[in-house]
Amino acid sequence: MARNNEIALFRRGNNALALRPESQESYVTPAVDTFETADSFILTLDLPGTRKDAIQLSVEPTNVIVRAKVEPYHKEDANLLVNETVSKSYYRSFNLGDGIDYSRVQAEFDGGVLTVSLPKTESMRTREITIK
Amino acid sequence: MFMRVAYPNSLFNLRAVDEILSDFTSRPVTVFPAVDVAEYDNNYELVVELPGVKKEDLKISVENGVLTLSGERKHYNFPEGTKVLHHETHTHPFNRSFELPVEVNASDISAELKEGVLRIRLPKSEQARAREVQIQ
Repeated sequence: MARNNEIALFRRGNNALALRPESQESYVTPAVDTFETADSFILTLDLPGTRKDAIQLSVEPTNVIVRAKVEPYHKEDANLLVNETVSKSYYRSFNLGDGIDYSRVQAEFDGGVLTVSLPKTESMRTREITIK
Repeated sequence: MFMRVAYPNSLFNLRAVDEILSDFTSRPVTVFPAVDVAEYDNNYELVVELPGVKKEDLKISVENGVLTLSGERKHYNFPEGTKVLHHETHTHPFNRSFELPVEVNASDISAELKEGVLRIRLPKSEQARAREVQIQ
C-alpha cells in the first residue's frame, strides 16, 4: 500500500512543455520533491513567478492537480539579451491512490514553492507495536 | 543533471556559450538558476528564478565590472525521520557571473527577491541612455 503510493508519486502528470489538448496552451512541468513523514506525505513544487491567488490546487480522491499562471517577467518594450526562462503556465498532476485523507489536504505558498501536505489515513500510518 | 556556468560571461553572449557547451556534452542544457537579461532604454534587468532560496542565502557582488550571483538553496526543514521519496529540485550551491556592459552604473544596482524570482536592476549611466536629439 505504502509502496504503491511511492510508485504513484514518481509518475509524471505530463512531460515538460507538453501541450494540453483542452486549452492549446503550453505548460511547464514544475520540479517536485516528495517526502514522507510518519503521518503524512508532502509534495513541494517549484512555482517561481506565480502568486498565491494564481495557483489552482484541485484535490479529488486519488488525484491532486496543480495549475498555476505566471505573469510575463518583462515589460513589452524589453529587448531580451538572454532568455533562459520559459513563458508559461505550470501544470502537474499526481495520482496518489488510496491511503490519503483527501479531505484534510493543506497547502501553503512561500518563496515560489508550493508545499502540499497530504495526511495519511489511519491505516497507512506507521505504528509501533508492543510485543506481548 | 545541470550545468553550472562558473565563469564570467558577457551579458551579450551567454546564450552562445551555453550552446557551445551543449555541443560538447550533447545533452540539453538546463542551467540553474535560469536567468533572463532584458534591456530597456534606461536600465538592464536581470530576472533570475530562485524558488526556495532565502534572501540570507543569496549573495550578489560586483567587482571589476563582473556581477556575481551566488548562493545556496537549503534543504527543507521537515521533522526528523522524514523520508525523501523523490527529488527533482536543485539544492546545490550555485554561482553565475556576468560581465557588465561598461555603461552600467554599478553603485546604483538594486535587487528584489519575491515569490522565488530575483530582479536585479542595473541602471545605465547618463551617457549611455538613448536620447532623442532635437533638430534645430
